[in-house]
Amino acid sequence: MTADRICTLAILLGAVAFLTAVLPNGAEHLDYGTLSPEVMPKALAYVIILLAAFQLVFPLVSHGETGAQPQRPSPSEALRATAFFLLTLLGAGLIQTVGFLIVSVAIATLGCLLMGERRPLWVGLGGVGLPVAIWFVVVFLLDRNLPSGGIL
Amino acid sequence: MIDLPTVLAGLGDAFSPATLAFVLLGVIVGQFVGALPGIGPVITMAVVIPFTFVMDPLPAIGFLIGITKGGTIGGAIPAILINVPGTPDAAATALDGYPMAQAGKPVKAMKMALYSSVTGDTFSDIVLITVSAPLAALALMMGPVEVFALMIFSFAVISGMLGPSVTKGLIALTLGLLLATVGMDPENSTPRLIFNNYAFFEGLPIAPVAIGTLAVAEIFRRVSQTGSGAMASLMSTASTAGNDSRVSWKEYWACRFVMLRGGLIGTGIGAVPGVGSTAAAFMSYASTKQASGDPDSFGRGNIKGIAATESANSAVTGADMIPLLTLGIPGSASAAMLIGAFIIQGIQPGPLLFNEQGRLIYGLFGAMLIANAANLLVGNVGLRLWARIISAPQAVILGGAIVLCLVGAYLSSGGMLGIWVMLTFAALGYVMTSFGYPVVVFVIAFFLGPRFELSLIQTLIVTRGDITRLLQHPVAIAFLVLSIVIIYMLGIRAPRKARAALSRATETTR
Repeated sequence: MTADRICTLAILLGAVAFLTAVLPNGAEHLDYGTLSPEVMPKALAYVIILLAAFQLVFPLVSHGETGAQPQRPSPSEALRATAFFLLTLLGAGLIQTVGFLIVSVAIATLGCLLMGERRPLWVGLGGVGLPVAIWFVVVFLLDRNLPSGGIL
Repeated sequence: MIDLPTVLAGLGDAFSPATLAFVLLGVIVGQFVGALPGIGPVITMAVVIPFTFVMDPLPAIGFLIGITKGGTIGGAIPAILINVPGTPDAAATALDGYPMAQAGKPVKAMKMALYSSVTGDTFSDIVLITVSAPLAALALMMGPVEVFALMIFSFAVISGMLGPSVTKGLIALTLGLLLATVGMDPENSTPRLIFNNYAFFEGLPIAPVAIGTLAVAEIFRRVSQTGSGAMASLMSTASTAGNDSRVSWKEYWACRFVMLRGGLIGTGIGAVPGVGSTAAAFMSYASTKQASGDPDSFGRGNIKGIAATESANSAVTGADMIPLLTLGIPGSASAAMLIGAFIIQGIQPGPLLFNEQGRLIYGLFGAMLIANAANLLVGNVGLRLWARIISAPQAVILGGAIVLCLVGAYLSSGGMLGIWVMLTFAALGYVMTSFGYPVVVFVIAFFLGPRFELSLIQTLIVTRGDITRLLQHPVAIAFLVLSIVIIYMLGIRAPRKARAALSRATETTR
């Protein structure tokens, strides 16, 4: 429940920051027309603040049978997800430099290894075979451009 | 109303080689990904939408419809074989499917799932085709005030039903609406929240947002949960006896009322935004068990249990299109993906669609019926093949999936912008799911945000900003009152009841 409350508090503070720091610089006020551009985001931010405050005070759990349940990750799972996210982020940053094909092979291979796959055949298939096949289909069959990064 | 030549022309379009090929391909892909626990049709739709940019609208939408319909059948395969539902709506199928597989009848169970799924799906498609045009005509009689109130009502239902708490559902909804305000303001066309980055002038790109929130976030979750690389392999072995590997006509016919009930439940539930196919499957299962003369046999491999769940969860697929096509309001994740695809193709779903794009609509209906036939055909041929796929290591599948997401995001925006947006929303989606904020509600709100703001502006113009003028719109008042009732029922009354039941249970155990 504590982590849940921290998350709700972060949402509340985020909405306050949006209202005070982001919105004044991001949307202008117009005196004419029906709905000034800044009104809608401002109203929605106030709604989020109200709802988050309500959620903080009454962290109600309702029916919960058909709806999506929280899938709280364990610390190790969160760490692994973060590692894969950072890996993908790094790969995305390198796409323009080294090219899409090399980056996708690296991400898929490291992803396979991160998930504990050690069998060479499967690592080869998932890490190299699939990305190369996807690249081939997109570039040659669909005739769409992917960044080559000057290497390919 | 649409004239007969338009209807026939639309149905004829559905039989064009391109549409037939893409519907068939969609069904194959849908069954394939449905059989892979954790991937599923919604993620696949998010990933392939950018690839449909270059296609004509009907083959593109037909392809996505094929994926959805194929996914309902594919999801039953791992549920039956390894007791792990490929899609959430197949969870109820495992109740009797898995015991049947353990008893050496996996092929029979899978075939019953296939036949009942196609039956339920066809039933709901026929209902959709029959009722959608009159409903759209009715919807056209509504003015902007009524449309605005209807959107509020739909948001209330979706927020209440798709999350563990109504408040969290509403927060996810409001966040989606807020992020949809990025870009051009609809009334004055002034830039808003783009901070001189004119790539966002038309708003955050839809496809990368959907891919990130729904697909990549789920891939991150799966990656973090997959420690051993390989998935559980198939444990049961199929019996070689002929009767155990096929469903006779007698067995199918004996389930006709069960499938009819499932079809009715699925269609009814599918027509209501937000309730979803998982609820339909469990509801149909429970009512079939209750109506049965031998309720104890359920959960031990009763073939009627499979017929009940699969006919119901598949019937939701067709009925799901009723609010989407007649009102432009998606009620589920797959419908949200479809509305995204419509918008990307430059088509605004809603009642006007029947007047402006009647030919496309009836082409779509034709494609849906073709997809059902293709499901039957591909399922009969491919069930054993998909069953083998389950034993493929998840690491391989997820590695390929993330590469496809990168390609999809890149192609959809024509550059790196799509990838950055996708990764940002992947992180957001991961955090939201971890804390029980329903991402589907977020995505639906994001897609409908611009229309919602436009409706609000039109409402303010019609009422001249005077709230008392709402009294001249009784239908709108009814929708708004219903919204409050739903929020009260799901957000205040239901938790109170749940807490009371919990405290009673605690006292009993003491």
